[in-house]
Amino acid sequence: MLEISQFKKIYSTGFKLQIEDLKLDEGIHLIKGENGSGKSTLLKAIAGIHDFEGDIIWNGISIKSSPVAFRKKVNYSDAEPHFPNFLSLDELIRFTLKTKGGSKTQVESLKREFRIGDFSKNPISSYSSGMLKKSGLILAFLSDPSLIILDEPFTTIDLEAQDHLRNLILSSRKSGVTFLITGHLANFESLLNYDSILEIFDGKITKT
Amino acid sequence: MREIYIKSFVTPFYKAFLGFFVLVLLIVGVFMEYKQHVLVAERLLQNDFGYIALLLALLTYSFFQIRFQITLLNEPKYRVFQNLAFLSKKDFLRFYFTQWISNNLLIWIYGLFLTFISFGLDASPKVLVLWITVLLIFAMGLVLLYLKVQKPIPERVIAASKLFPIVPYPFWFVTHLKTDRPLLLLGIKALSVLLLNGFLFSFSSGSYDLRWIQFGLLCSAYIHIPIWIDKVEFDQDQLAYFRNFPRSPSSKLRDHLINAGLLLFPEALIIFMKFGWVGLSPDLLILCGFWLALNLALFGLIQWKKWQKGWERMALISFFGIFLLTIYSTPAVVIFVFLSFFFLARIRSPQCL
Repeated sequence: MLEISQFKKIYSTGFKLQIEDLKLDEGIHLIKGENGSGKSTLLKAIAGIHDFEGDIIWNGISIKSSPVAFRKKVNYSDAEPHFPNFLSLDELIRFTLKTKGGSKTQVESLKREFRIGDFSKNPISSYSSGMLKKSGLILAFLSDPSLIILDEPFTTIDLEAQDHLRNLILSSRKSGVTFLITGHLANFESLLNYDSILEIFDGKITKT
Repeated sequence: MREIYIKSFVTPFYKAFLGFFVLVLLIVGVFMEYKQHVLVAERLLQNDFGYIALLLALLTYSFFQIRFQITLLNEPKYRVFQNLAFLSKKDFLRFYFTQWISNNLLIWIYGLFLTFISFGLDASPKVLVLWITVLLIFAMGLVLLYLKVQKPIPERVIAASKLFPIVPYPFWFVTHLKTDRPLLLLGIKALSVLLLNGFLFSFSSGSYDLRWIQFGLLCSAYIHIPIWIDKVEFDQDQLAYFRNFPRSPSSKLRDHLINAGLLLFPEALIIFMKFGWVGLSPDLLILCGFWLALNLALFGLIQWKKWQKGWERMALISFFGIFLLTIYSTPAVVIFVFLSFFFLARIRSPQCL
């Protein structure tokens, strides 16, 4: 179970996001909201990338008291992935396998699903936005996470890859992985059967 | 993995401080002979003040090196390296050792040299303290980086200035330098101003003519190369959206002049102060024009050749070309006109913003 309590994030620009108490069971959860509403801010906080006030607990592990153990269980894919331009996807995968774990079979399978082929040998600087997104998604599914956070996963990738991603989410869900997903596509809500739909508006989150 | 660590944590460090390392290589490899190295090393080991200064220099170098790695880890592109926290202690030490040994070549090679020199002197305690300091520097960096990857990445939110809520276009690059490259800006301006001051000081002895100042300006302009490389990359990456805007060469020229004026006015001010406002002569104005044109032409050259490689060779040839023209008393105004034409030709290109 994901528990968020006394969450507060305030920026000098005036933007504010506050969550008193939120509990999400295992499953696939959708977070909706306008551009700039704070979806990515919340997801990055849950992924342990950026700091915040309050606490987030995933299956009994608190991000505040055991940040490394927490982060090891949570994988994240950015809406607009950033990686060092001079490294290749193969190098990023090798680094992720070394640090977070995972198998070569898993890598081969993910590369096949996303039709990466030999392109993964090339440096990131030569990638299109779609390839970059696929790279972020492959890294998010690698190793053995129990929570995968996908920020706008279906944007910029082609229709075939969208289909593969949908199947991948469903098969991972069957093996017990929980998902937090955001999206803007018109048919987004019908793409998957969500266990809950949340909406961020005016710095607050509500279940719809 | 070693290759990934070198590419990600060593190459960017040497790239970022390229100017410093070129300067060190020039001084220790070209201007100094082995005998002088031995003399300096002996003096450092025998003189307490020199020895303390050496230890402080090591600490300063390490401070900048660790600070650089931490800044790098804060960048969004390096977010993937937050995963370093998942490495076992042994593997983390291996990662740290790989990058430390490569980034601190200067420290440990000089440490070995001093140890070698100390054999002929009675300086074992100082060498021992030196190696303990190096070891402490190593351990301090290890702890700082280990703690760094455990924590979340600090967010950088740039709020608009209340005084100047809208930054005009020609000020964008200077704002970028101030926000993203403050050390580069400060380092280069300090080095350039110091060097030019040295030239002006020796000029005031009366043994040199204006060609000496011209040469000083040429050297100071070349010190600005990292800034102009950064400007080319800034235009290419961050201002890519504006590349297809139909801008006239005159508006481009105006913006480049304002931008260069903002960056280059300290040196021009020094020249004016040195010669005095009252003694304003055409020579003085030509020198300032020469200074501006040198920098703009350097920017134009990098902008023109950077993506085809080989601009470094052309920059070197240009340096010696202008040096020879100056030595053989070619009037500065002629060089100024030539450089200005080159720059004007560059800004007519759609590739140049």
